[in-house]
Amino acid sequence: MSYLIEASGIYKEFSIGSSVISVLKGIDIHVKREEFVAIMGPSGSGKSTLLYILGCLDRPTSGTYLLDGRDVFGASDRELSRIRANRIGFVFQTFNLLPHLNLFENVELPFFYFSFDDHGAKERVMTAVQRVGLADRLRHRPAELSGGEMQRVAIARALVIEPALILADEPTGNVDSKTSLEILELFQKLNDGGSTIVMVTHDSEVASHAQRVLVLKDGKFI
Amino acid sequence: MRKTLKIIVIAIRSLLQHKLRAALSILGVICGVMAVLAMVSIGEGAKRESLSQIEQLGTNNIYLKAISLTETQENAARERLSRGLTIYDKHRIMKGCSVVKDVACLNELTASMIGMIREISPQIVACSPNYVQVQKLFLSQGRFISDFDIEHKNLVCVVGDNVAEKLGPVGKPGSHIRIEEHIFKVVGVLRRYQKKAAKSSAVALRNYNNMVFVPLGTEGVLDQARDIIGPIKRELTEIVIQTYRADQVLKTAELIERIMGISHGGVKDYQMVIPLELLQQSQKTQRTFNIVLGSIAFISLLVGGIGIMNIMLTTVSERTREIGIRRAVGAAQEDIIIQFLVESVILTFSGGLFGIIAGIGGVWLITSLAGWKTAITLWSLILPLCMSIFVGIFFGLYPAYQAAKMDPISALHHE
Repeated sequence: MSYLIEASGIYKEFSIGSSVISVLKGIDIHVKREEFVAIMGPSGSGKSTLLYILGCLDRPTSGTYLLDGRDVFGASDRELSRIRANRIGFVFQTFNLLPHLNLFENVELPFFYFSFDDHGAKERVMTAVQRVGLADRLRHRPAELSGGEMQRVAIARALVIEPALILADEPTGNVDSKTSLEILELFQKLNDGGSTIVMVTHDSEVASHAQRVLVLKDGKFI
Repeated sequence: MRKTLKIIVIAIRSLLQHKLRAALSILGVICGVMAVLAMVSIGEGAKRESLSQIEQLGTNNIYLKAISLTETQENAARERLSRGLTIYDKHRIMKGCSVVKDVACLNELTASMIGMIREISPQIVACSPNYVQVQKLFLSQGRFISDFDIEHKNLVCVVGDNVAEKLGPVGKPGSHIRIEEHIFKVVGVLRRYQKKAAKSSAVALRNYNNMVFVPLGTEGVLDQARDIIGPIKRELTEIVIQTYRADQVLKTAELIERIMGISHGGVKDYQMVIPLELLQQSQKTQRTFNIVLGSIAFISLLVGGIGIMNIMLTTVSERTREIGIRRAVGAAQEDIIIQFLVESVILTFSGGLFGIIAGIGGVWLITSLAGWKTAITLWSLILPLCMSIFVGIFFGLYPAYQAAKMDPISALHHE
């Protein structure tokens, strides 16, 4: 099985004023297709930064990153945006839904930036919403949904373009333990269906749902 | 196409989230556009009015008008044997200028109609037969004064439409009217002349409806005032020179000026009026007016634009998180720029539309209250609309750029 993510020697530095903070100090990570990987670590360990680099939302200071065999280190903003639009789905801790759009429109959002023909968009949105079990709440706004429902909408939004890679940043951080379990089961179902998932969490119980757990500490895997 | 439509719909929905704010932010643009439309329309109306007056004088024509002289000027004229405008001036001009098509002469008389109804006091003028063609007048009945009348000093007259109406049955060809001591036979009636209302015009238009024309040469028996006081016998009060084409007018005017200078010994006992020149002058004035108008419009739209920029900057900072979300699902920097530009253009464009509606209302009010002539042209509608779109792009660009430049990750974590 080939690797979807092949990243090696990833460094990330932030400069605040005159001081330089090293967040990632030489990360090597390889993720196979259809793998469910959890990255664990205490807060401030750089796990979210790594996730954003893997999701082409941020760039490493140095290192090589091949996504599906393609080097994305030197790609322009436009190219990175296209990769995000067509191949990557994000799920965030704080859901990040647009409050003025209803459920359907929130899930439909990625099609604005999707490069391919969006003729089947409506059907694909419906399929995604059905997969997260919210087909009866299409016209509801985020404010009318519970935390767990909002996260399911966010997951539907992530998988509506059938991405090669789903990235989740503490997806259960803002929901109760029962809902948390539901969401993790949903991820597992998606993974069984062939989705590659990389999830960041600080909770070992959550991480235990993944096939493989990587632990990050002070910018390095241990 | 579908995507463009979607972007516009999304932009309108985002704007409608803050209806009051959107409405207030476009007030400046509305006022600006309204001002532009009102001023362009008033300017256009004034321009059309003055143009139509000048054109009625005939852009192919040159007018020589006798002017009253001061005592010293009169003495100078007497010394140099200048007798004012005479029939000889006409002959000299006809001979001297090859492009002159026709020269008509007119002499205003101080005689009056006697024994008629009191309420009419028509102006009585003696003129050459070609006056009717040069001034593009038409007859409703009978004929105009002919060369034969001039030659034989026939006591005939042509009356204006108003005069004929007032005279009733007498104002018809074949009847007779009395002017001073003499009986004139009416041979024709002029068709009603549409005189353009001249409120504040540089040129005085004659009211032909209120005039009686007699053959040039017969005024000797009528103009008694002149016999008593007139120290210099002034033969004509006006000479109208008609050229073939409008582009010959200015050259011809120069030539006539020279001929008149020589024959009058340098005495300026006449005034030259060139409608074409007046036309060009009025166009020049119009240009100045346009510049003033343009700067006022520019300033008002600038102010409106700053308002838009202000509101867009607020919008961008309020929607930081949305920008982060859109970036995460695949929006490139251009997509963000386009999104916010579309919003600011929709704001200013709708401001433009409302401004046009308000402007048309304002123009209507001005016309009905102040009685000014206004004209709303296609240009006066398109110009402010285009300007409002331009303002939207120009003042929306910086906020949109700010939005696109945001770091997506910190935008996502913005509270």
